[in-house]
Amino acid sequence: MKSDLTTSEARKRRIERIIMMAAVVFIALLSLAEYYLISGFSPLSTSSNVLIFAVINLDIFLILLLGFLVVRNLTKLVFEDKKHLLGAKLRTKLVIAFISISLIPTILLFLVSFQFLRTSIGYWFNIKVEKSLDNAMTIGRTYYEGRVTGLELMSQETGRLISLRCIEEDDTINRICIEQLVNPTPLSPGIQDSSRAISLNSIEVINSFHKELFVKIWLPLVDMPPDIPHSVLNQIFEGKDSLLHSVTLEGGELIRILSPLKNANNDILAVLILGHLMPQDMSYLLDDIRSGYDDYRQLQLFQNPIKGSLLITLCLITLLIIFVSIWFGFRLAKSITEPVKMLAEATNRVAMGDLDFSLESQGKDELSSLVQAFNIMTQDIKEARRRTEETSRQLRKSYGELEHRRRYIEIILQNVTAGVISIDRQGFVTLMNKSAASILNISSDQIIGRPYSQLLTRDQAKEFEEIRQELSRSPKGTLQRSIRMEIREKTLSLLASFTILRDQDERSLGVVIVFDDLTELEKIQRLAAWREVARRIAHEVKNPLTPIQLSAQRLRKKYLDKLDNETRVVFDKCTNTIISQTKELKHLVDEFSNFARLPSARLRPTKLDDLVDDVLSIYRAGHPKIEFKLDVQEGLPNALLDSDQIKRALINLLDNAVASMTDGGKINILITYNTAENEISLSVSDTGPGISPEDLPRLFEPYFSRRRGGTGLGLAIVNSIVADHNGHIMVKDNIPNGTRFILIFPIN
Amino acid sequence: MAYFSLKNGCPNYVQIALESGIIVRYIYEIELQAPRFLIKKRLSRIFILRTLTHDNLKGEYRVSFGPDSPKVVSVRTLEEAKKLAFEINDISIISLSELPRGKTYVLRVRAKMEEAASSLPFKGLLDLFSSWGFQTKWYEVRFNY
Repeated sequence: MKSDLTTSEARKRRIERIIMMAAVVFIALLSLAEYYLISGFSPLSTSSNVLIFAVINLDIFLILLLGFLVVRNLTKLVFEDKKHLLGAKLRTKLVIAFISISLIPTILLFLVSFQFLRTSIGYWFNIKVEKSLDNAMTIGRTYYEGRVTGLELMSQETGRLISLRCIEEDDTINRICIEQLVNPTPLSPGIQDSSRAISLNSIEVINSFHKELFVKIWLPLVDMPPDIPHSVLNQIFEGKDSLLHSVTLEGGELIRILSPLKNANNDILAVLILGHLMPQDMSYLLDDIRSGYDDYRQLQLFQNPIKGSLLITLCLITLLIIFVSIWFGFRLAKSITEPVKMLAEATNRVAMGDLDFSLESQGKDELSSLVQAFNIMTQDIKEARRRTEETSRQLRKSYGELEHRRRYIEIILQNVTAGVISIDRQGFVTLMNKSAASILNISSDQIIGRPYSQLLTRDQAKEFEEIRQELSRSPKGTLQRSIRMEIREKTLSLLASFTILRDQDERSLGVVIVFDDLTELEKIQRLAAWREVARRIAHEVKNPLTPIQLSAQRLRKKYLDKLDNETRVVFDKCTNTIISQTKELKHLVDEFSNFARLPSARLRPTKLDDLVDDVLSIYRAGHPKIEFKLDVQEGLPNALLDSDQIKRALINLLDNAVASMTDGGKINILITYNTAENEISLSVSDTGPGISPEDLPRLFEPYFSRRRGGTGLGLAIVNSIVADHNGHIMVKDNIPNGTRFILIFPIN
Repeated sequence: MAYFSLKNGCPNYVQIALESGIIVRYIYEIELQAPRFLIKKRLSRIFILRTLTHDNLKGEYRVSFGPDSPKVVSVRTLEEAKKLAFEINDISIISLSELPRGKTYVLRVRAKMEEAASSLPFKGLLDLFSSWGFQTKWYEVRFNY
């Protein structure tokens, strides 16, 4: 902004200088041209007019410039105002204010001056002034004419005396006679007229050859009068009776009357010149009277032009003042609004985030201080922003690292098999990972942000409270507990670790609970334990059974026929019981043995529907009261299965189902394929009495059976087979009655 | 040699101005031209001045002959002054030896009257707003020599 403004301002200034120079040249040329145009062919100097022309032209030019500048600036102002440019409204107000301030007094002054001018000119031509001047002129004229008339009379008398006494017969003029005539005093008694007494200061007689015949002068040497021009003398010789000739000397104005000296024949022989020196003070007074009278008459003559010229001058000066004041107003408004506008624009730029500039401050006024303060503020903001950006960058970096760590921890949390739940000091759940949600079979959205007490049953809350108190007493702030928990009719066995979260000041922030689901592990461990038990029982029990059975058969074979009837009956019954029970025991041991020695699955691509159909065909024949139905989804793929074990599992399930429907019923087998999970599902449902809810948790445990004579190994074997196939088994109620077992196997 | 006179050179308003003490100047411009095909060649150009003043106190008119001549003639009446100012006699334009014979010449003259001096201030400004001078058109005499 600084460089832009400087360049723009310098350019503007240069243009203004060029305009000024052009204006000066223009005015000079215009003045010269007008001078020559108005002077026409006159070679005489009218230099005084040049200044007038120049002033008038300057005024005309200034008026034109005024009009141009005012219209230009006003137009510019209106457009800027319409465009809502920054500072336009303020400048408009200032300009209007300045114009008003300048126009009102100027117009008032003009009107008062105009009225004053009219009044003054009226006073100039007051009738009393005119009359006084006329009277003064009359007095002066009377005085002067009296002198002249007296001198003329004296000249006539002197001329007459000289003609009578001093002209000889040969027309020569006797100088001695003239001398005697005028001596001893300038006013000889012979020619003195007491009524019109004037002093005579010179007597000259000049002949037709312009030769002085007699000269008598009573004047100081410095005031010697000049010779009368020959042309004037000639006028007397040519017949003029009298001529007045006056000349101004240092002592005053010398009035000289020329009259002819004639002989008896009335021929002009010479010119008699009588001179009278009018005193200097009187001469000055007469000059003043004449000058004042002339000035007044001229003023009167030019009354209207003077009025017009003064009015026009007044108008021009008024316009000049208005121009200067308006121009000054514009400049002043500009000098105020420009920095304000600059500041406003700069503020906008700052608001838009641009801080890489500084304003140019000129002068030492308040606005300049404001501009400087703005520059300092901008620099401060820039520095602050730089620091903020630096801080922000560091924060972003830290946040990124923290976010990375958080995500890492979250990933760890979400991917660990252990469930993690965090509870704050107020008892609200703040975090729960995916494993926790999976183990507890609950959505984290339902848990997070709620107090844990609302999520637990009364017994659980009591237990948790005991744990919390024990935890608070724990010196390490950690506690490990094995918990059994009923979640949605399912008993979970959890190993939970409670740890108090503490900050740097050892203040408690809450508790984090990390727990593992040991339910399946316990099942497996229990299954393994049962297998071990079964193996040992089979090993320990099976061995003596065969000798017992063989012994009982041998006893029967050797001694049955040898006994009496009564004894034989008892013997027969006992040995049969031994043999049959031994068979039962053997069967039981075989079952144990089978359970304990389940071979590892040999997986091969198997067509499950055919396998099921084969098994069902056996059962259809053996159980006519029961309806067997097989539904297979079309496009069922082969699955990797051990067909023998699957058959065994299916037989166990069907046995249980058939056993539960002594009075007949319906068994449905449904085989479906889940393409999304790439799983195959085998569902076996019956219409029997179903399974009570309390039996469900232990349904797949070995030796758990509600059926009379049941070993409790069937479903345990089914569960084991399904587990060996990496599948899982579900038990649901069959609608409207009965039980439904769903076996799910992965295809691969 | 040329002679001519100016008629109606002192209208009423000039007379009033004279009696108000304003000095009135009469300028006579005399030109001798030799007409050519398209242009007129100026052979001689002369300016003659007569300045007329009136002294209210003495009741006399003065006619000065200028600009080179210091000759001043005072007369009692305006008629005498007008005669001196308006009648121009025996003006030598050019020597006959300088004129080729057998050619046509044009002698023309015009007069201009203006206010020579005034005791008022802003005289130039007054001249602009109260221009009461006049200028006659050219009066020509065509002759062969």
